[in-house]
Amino acid sequence: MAAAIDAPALGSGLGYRPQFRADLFAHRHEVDFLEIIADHYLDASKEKLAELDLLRAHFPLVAHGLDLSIGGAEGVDSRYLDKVAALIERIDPPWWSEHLCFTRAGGVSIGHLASLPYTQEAIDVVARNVEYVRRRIKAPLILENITCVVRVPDGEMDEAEFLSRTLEATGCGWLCDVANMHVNAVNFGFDLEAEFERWPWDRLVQMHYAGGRERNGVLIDSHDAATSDAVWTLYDRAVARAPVKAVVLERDEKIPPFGELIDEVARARATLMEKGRWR
Amino acid sequence: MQNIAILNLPGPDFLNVFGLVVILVLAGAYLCIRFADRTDRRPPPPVPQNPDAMEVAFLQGGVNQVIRTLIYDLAQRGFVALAAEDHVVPTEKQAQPGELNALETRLLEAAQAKPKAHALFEDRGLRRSLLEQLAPVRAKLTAEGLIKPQSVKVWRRRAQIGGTLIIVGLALAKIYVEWAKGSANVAYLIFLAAASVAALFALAYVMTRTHASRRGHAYLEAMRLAYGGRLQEAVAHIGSPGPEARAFGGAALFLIGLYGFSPLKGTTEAMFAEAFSRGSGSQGADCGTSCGGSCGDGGASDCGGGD
Repeated sequence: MAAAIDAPALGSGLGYRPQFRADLFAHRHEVDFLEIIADHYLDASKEKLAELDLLRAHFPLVAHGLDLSIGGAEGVDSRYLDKVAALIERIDPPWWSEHLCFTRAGGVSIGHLASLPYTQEAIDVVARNVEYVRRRIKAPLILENITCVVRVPDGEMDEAEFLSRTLEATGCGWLCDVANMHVNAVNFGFDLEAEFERWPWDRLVQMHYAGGRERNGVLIDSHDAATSDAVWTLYDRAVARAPVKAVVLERDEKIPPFGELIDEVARARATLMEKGRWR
Repeated sequence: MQNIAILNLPGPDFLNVFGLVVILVLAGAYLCIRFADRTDRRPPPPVPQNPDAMEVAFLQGGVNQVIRTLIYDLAQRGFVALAAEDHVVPTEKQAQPGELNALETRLLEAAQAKPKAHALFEDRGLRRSLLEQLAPVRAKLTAEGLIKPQSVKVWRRRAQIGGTLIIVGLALAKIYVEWAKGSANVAYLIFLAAASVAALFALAYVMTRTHASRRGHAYLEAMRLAYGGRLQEAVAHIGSPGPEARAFGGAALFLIGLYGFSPLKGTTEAMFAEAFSRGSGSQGADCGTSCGGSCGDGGASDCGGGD
């Protein structure tokens, strides 16, 4: 299977959070690379930039954006894009990622990753926006599937088809968040196991995995718990299915003793190695 | 000499020229010393996963910082205590065979005399002995370009001698010319020349007082940035019951080497910061104590300890 992008494999990494910086450096050799949240460094202080340079000197980095609004009908905010471009230039990652969603409407940042309608029109909007972004940032952009709280009515296709056609139209690689896939499957009641092959595995570049919680019968991708067995099962199957280049553990809240994070990173790496995806 | 135009300028005009020369001398001295240390052309080494406390302390502040770190460690482990009037006194606890390394054993020996904190810094025999045992550490740090190169010392001396000759020479020449003319109103010029030489030596001291090279400073800064969070955690543990009270024990001891005793202020262990502050005129956050190390000698030269 041809790789979605031409970039080196990075192994088993961690979503960087400043809270565990000291522990991270004390276990430096147990984390293959880091994923930074791009938005934390866009209007960064001197201290944050020093932190970024320190991370860059010790780990391979990839950047993960939150607020580009790649599916926004009104286009991408050029000032925001300029800041992202400056960050990408500074850290020179093999790729960077954003969410396949919209986060701005009517010039207002809505502070939420909102699901796009699963329509051809939305695909065209994303393709146009990606083209605009590519003119500014040369590093490959990959797109992540998000969790969906409410499906926009009058969809013309399901999520797997929408994602596949969007990646095809844009030429972007896929950041597969297996936790998000699991959450959507549970919340919307589709059989992920049966539909596994309908997802765009040929465009897979990176994966996210994380733990969430249930509230009022709804799964939430809250990044505040250990990765569940169901997500690990999906993770193992995905790694076996496609030549993923990098996997990242996301943990934002209720951060446990660092050893527990390292255990999860090691668990993920073991599958990568077992399936020949990592040295 | 009386035919030299500058020396025949009226007093105020000559002082303007003299001031300009002093500024140029100071700038030249700064550049000479600054560019004698070009170790920062290479990026600092990676931050270690398990920083060595003695290595960090030696790089941060030479032998003085090593003494601080060792005393603190021995106190945490119950071998010494801080007594009244800043005396460091041994406790009744006896070390088991192999429990203390050579550096710790030597410092514990020095503590048998119940010295004041500052007396440890001035104990030439202790400093010499510690320096001998720290020779491998120094060699490693030197090989990595983390300690100020000897060229800094050489250029500091050149800058001091050359600058002094220029300043004093120009002042003496003017005084000679004025005296030859029968004028004796040169007191302000003498004061200005003395102040300028003092400024030159102060500049040279400030630029060379720390032990670490520019690369070494970048390395220490990277370590502070990487492990700064540990410091907050450790300080928060001070005074808590149980084994966590030894906040800077074991693998965390390097934080004392890195930060000195300053972070202990306001905690139940503030007496270390106070005793060693009174003793050395420094809280250990930097070098420059009464026997401070400078220019890569680890503090040997100022207190008579041989390398």
